[in-house]
Amino acid sequence: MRSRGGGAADPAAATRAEASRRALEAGGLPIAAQERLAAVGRGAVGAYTSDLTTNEFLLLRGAGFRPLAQLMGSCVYQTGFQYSVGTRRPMAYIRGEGQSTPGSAHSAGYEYDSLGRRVYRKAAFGQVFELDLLSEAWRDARGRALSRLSQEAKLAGADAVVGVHLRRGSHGTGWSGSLIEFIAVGTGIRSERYDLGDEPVLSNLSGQEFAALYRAGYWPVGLVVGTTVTYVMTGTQQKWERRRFGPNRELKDYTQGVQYAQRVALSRLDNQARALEASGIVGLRLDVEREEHEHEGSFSRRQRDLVVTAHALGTAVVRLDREAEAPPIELALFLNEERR
Amino acid sequence: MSEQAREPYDPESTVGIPEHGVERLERMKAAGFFSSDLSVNEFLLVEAAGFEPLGLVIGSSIYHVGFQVGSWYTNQELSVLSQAMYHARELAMTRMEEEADKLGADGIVGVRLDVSRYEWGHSLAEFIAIGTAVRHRGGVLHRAPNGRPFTSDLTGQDFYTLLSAGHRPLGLVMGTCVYHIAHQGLGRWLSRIGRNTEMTNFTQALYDARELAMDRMQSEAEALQAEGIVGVQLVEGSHGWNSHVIEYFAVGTAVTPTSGDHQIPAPGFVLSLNDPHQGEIKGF
Repeated sequence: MRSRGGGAADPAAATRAEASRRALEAGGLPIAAQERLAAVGRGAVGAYTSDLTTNEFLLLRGAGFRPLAQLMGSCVYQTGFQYSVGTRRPMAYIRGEGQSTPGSAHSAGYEYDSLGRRVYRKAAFGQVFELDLLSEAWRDARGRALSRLSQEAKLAGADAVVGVHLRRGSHGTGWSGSLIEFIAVGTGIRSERYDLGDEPVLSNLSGQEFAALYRAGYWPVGLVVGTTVTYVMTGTQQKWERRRFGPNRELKDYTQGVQYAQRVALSRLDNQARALEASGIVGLRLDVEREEHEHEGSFSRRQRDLVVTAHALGTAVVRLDREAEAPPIELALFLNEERR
Repeated sequence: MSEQAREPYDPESTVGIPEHGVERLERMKAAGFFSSDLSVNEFLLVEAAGFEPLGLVIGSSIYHVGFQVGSWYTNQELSVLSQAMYHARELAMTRMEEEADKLGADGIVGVRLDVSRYEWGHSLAEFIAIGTAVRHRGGVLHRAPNGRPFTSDLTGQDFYTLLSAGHRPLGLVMGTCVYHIAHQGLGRWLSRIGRNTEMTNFTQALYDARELAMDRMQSEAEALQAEGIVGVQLVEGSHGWNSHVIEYFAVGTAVTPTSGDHQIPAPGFVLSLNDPHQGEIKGF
């Protein structure tokens, strides 16, 4: 970093800043964070930091865990441009009424408009494309943020990170190139009873949930996430069906396009969890954004398509081998005041 | 329109499930792996109630809602719109149930029914049904009498308490009514000017709409041979229509007793260690 006056800054500081930038480029952590956490890892820091509430802290202590440090991972990311899906193969075809074999009535193909430009041939039913550049951007940005959180946890010597809040920000539309950002914050904890290996486990569970799962014989194995950005190109039939003053009608292209995107995001989540050899996913959150993209279609006709961004997030859990006795459940009347 | 009844249901059908969805469900079933949007607490309680979660199931429908105007001075139901609101929800529900069937489920817990509208979509609405498919671990059949998997919008906590008190859910029942509320004439307006008075025609319209929605929900419960309906929610909404058009939507879980004994153990007193407002930061 240069100082404003034009003179050279402290050379040592400049070297550190440069080294930090290089580390970030490689997906790592800035030097200052590395040093701070390494000190935590060595046990050279007297007091821990944590955003756990008192109850969470006590419950985790009861389960034999000690908080180490508040950890963070973040990433600001610029997505590239992806305007055209015209030369791609669709990943799915919409099925029309009474038409069970997918893709039978409409093969993907091209036609040429009056100016000789190659455009998609309109089919009666829609087609679904993945905007893989954008999907990849979300995946990479989130991956970097979570990986940094994980690296911090490793440096601090944590067995797990609890209460991970993953915040997603998007600056600008999802369609053109824009900035997206991820921030992941959580508290690193370490077991005082067991050696749980080197690889820290991330989870978005609160201290209470963590303690309840643990007592019932489950252990979280990781945060799993899946994203897809999907382009739903509508067919001619839907265009006719959504005319003004038209009768009640389901829009098949949009319906199936959104369903498809949701399933793709969920499949990606499942695949990650299976790779972790989890028995299941709890606390799943599915967040789907839909945005209509209006543009000039073939032969200058107005064309309205849909861009669907689906994010799925959950905690993968595994049933521990030991035959855990689930604690008995008793009915109770809460004596706490309910503030609403 | 007077009839709002579910269409016959075929447990083998997969018409509403997209291809990729079928693949996902088959893989999930084969691997004995589940995903669920139940919270940790709900998940543990559903297990304690003797059920195992099988997977997250979704049904949705993006619907073009037709066009109908009420006569200016008349209180009346707008049957085209009522029909649309019911049919689209039924499509979403049925698709969700088909997915659950594919997983070999007995039923679906924690069902949420949502309607969203978008700025870009003139007269479009998206209807979503989402929940967690579950199966009884002991193999006791818990389906509804009409062959559908049971559905319930109760939380995992409510589901556990209901079962331990000798009841079981049969199905989510719903009724809807879109109603046009009459505008008042100039004469009426003049006669009321400056006076405290009840707007009886408005009161009456709201009563009518509510009664129709409740009545439809009730007849669905009767068709399911239910003892009653718990957790009824009555929602008034306007889905982009003009200010004199409203929808009343009634939804609840139809239940039936499983044993004569409906006693729950007397609850103990506890002071909870949970934090109700975790992570909330004030003053920013």
